[in-house]
Amino acid sequence: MRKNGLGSYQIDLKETIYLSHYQLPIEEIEELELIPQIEIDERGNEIEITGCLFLYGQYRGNQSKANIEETDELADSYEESVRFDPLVADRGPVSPLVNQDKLENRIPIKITLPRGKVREVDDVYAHIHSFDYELKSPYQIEVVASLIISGLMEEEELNQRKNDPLHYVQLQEELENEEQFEFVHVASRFQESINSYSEPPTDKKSGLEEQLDSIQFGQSAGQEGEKEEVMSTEAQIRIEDEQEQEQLDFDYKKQLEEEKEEEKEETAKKMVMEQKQQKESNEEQQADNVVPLPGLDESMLEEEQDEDDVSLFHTDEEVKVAISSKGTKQDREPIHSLSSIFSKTPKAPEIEEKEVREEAHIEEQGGTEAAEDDQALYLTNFMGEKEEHFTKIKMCIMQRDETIEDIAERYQLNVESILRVNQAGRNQLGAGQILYIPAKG
Amino acid sequence: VIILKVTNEQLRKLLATYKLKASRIEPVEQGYLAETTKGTKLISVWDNADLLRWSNSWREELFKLGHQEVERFLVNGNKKRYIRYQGKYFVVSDVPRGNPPDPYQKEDCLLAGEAYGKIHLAVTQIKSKLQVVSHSPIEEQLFSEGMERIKEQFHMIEEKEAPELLDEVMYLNIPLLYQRLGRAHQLWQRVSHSVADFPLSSAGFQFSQLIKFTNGCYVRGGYNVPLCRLHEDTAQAIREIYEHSGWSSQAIADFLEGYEKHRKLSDEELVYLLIHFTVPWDVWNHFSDYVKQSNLSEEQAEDLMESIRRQRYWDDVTIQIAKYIDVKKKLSA
Repeated sequence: MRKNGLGSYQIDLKETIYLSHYQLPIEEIEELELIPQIEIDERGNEIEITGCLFLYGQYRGNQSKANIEETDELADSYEESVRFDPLVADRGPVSPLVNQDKLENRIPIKITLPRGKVREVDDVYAHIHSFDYELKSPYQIEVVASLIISGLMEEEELNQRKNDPLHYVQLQEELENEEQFEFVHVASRFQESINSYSEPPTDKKSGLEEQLDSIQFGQSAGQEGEKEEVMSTEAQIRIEDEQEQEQLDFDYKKQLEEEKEEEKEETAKKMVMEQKQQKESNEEQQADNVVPLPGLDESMLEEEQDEDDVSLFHTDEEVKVAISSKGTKQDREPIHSLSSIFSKTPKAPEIEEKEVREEAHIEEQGGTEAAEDDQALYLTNFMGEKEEHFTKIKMCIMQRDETIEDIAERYQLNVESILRVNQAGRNQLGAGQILYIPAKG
Repeated sequence: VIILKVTNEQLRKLLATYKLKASRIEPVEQGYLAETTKGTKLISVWDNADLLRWSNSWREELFKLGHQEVERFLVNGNKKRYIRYQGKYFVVSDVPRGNPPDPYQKEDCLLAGEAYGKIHLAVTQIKSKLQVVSHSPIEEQLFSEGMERIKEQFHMIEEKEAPELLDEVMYLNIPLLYQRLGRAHQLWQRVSHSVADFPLSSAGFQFSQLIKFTNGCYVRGGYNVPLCRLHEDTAQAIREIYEHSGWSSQAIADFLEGYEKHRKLSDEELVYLLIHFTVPWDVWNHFSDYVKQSNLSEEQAEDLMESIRRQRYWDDVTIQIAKYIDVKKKLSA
């Protein structure tokens, strides 16, 4: 599985279909379709994508047509002359009168997504992106296809939400109005601070990442817990959470890319230090413009330091996923299954979420200032002596059919100030884009 | 059972002309069985004087050839071997008791072959103006019409909108039938000119007409049996031996060996025999019924399947006979 554009993931499937004894061996495929028959349902805290990929086709069989042939000349020996093919009492599994057959096979799909990965269930849809086949033998077809699951939230958005205790509360309550985030912005280098907040430990995943990884492809619920159970025909699906490939519309993103390598180590150290300080002196924090940083510890830092080339947004992980085929009626031959184990029990997110909630709770109980102070301290340390001024901004995601004017009006700002903060032009804006809303004054 | 308006009293008077006194008379197939003072006697009733004459001839010829174990027609007080009554011919003969040869026994197969060889040697001595009464199924018509019928049926099945399982089985077998029939036709074309000159023989001679004796086989029966070309009976005997010997081709070889002790089979005769086995008769007959009825009953269909399964045995014996011919040709070359 790999990321495939905004809010979508591509699942590469490779399935070998074996014909049953009751099917004609294939001479030539005349028609072959792969149709997703998938339902997307919300079940508790999960989104279940279930159904199958229905492979349907018609082909010309390689069954040689019965034919009346004129008798050869008598051979020299009588023995040779009277050797005949034996008569047949059984017409065989396939009618000798047909030379075409149908191919029908269902590749079961079951994908489980954390509910938090999806804004609206209706946003999620699946479609076949590419599809090809290879006739391995008259009895065997290898189908290669890419299934796209679209409508998922961007990781950037997830990270931002993750770091926003208020949002977490909202998320849990399944509030609909989720596009607004509030977080600390360091005026001159806000990209870095955004990055710092978003930066996941390279080895240990953040809760949401783990939730993301818990997308499962399995034949049955019983298989969901089985990790890396890969059968012969399994499709290996890689997660390549390639944030770099996303369309970065903001200049700060580009700048971030350039600077992240040199800043990462220092940033991470500061984050850890800040986190420690945050834990130790929550009550002593005085700043009022910060939000708590999701837990990072030294071990994370150490592991991160080992992977200098890892992007702050980048999680490059290969996960084996198998999607299994249940035997269909015609699948007398054992059909290799693709059963997916792509899961990691999303416990960490719960812990992390709990921490965030607790912190958010402190905020709500009047501890907001203390928490923000804590974060301010962290940021102060993080930025060193270079920056000491903080500006409070909001962030929103442009919705469909929403204009920059609408956003400016909503926040009672002028368009130019929003564009300036975002270092973007009007023509660079589009739905789904994150906009930073500067604080008034 | 021949039903005649003949009383026991009339039959007793008939037997009296043979100087026989019957204690008990009962009707049986082809006539009456009488317990007499000189043993059990069969009174066979014949319709056709020419057949009776021909039948008497081969028995007498066989006897002359030294094969005394043959059912001969007894001579009555009128020095005739029959009594004509009500347009029928009443013939009296001995009824030997005993068992037929056992096809599982090599010796019995040899003896049976010898008996057949002698009988055929006898029939070739008969100077008869009789024509073939029973036509052999192996004729040009079988091949020309049969092969055409096969093709027609093949296309008919192909054009069926909803062919049934039986159609599909037939469809698979039709080319194989055609292959066999075509080959048999080729063999027939090779020997047909010679076969026309083959002597007549009893069409319905059964292996069970032989009764085993210590040094041979007693030949009996053959009443009112139509005549046909020589070796219809040989093919029939081979079938019986083969089936009742557990599909032993060695039994066939023994039979032929015994046969040729007394009468050599020409190449044409052997090829003619081969044709009999090249045509898969049982399956062919079912096919003919299928064509006539456009279908087969469930029972017929089951019989067809069984025939198809058994055909592999017939295919084997066909090859054995072909080998026999090949070897013989080499030896004579």
